[in-house]
Amino acid sequence: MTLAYVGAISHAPQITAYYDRAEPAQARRFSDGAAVMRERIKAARLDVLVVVSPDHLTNLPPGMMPALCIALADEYQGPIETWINLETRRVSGHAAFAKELLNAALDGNFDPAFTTSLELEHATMIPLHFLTPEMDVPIVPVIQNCMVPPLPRMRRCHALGELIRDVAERSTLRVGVVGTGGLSHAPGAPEAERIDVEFDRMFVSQIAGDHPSSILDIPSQRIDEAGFGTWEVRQWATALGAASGCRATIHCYEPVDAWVTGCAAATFDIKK
Amino acid sequence: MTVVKLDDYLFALKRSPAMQRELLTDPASHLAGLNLPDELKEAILSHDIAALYRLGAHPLLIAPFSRTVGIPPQEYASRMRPLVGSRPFRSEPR
Repeated sequence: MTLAYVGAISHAPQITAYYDRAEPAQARRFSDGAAVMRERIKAARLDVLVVVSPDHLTNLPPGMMPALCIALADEYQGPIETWINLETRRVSGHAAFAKELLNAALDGNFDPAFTTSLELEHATMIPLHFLTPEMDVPIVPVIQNCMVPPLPRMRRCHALGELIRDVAERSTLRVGVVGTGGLSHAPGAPEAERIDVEFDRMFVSQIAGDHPSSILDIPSQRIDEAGFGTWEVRQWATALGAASGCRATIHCYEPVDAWVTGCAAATFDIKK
Repeated sequence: MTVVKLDDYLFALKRSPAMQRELLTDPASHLAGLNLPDELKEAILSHDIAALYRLGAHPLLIAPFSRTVGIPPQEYASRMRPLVGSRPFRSEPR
């Protein structure tokens, strides 16, 4: 068994773009939560980190949107955004594990799109900025469509996590999985200034509780009400699948007005 | 270039510094080359982000458009605020 770490973390671009505009105590609690993930990732001595995220209409065009896309490159660069206060960095890709994952998907119940080039955006680079700041763990970006409806269903995202887990457990590599995105937000929309704290608290309480898989039963309408950015809780469902449905420890939850997002960081239990 | 959908145009614009320069320096000829309905061209020409939203543009494509044309975040928010609730989000439309 070489699944060595599973976590999830918010990736709002404002986290780094406007870090200092947040209430200092909130920013510190978020950073501290991310630091717990960073320490656990370091202790896990990962050979590869699967980063499950959306693509915010940066690489994948709105008129031709795959539900799922696996990136196969051996090198990446990002972030593409120039306004989020992060330097451009290079990140190694783990092309061999990416191909293993792609083939396992095609052998199994998924037929993902794939790409040999992907420009990394905030959805990957902000989590890496906090979790592997040396950029020393090769990554496999996995993109789930959270942007252009109709979206992949929560249960399919969870099943994809189980597939990633199975490939990890067959591998000789030490594999980590991090889902990025959420919680409630609606970037660029008229509702952007509203954080649905009630939804967020329900979500983290469920995923940290006795029945974490109950997040899969949240009606899509309830997720919609929390703002379209909340569609990114799909990555939390994927992480939950990778963790075989084990509960998460929530390191932090902060509804940060300056970041217009309910921001959380969590590590999932994994079966040893 | 043939572009028939607003989001396709905004996506292309987001990815192309050359298109952004053309929009800013010679908007008339920039728009003349686009196969878009007049009301969309008017919204683009007048940097009317609220109209773009009403006409169905993806919020994550309106935001980079606003950065290209120089609308500050606070003004963005104040222009969009009156439209709260006007386009309910639906992740799994049938």
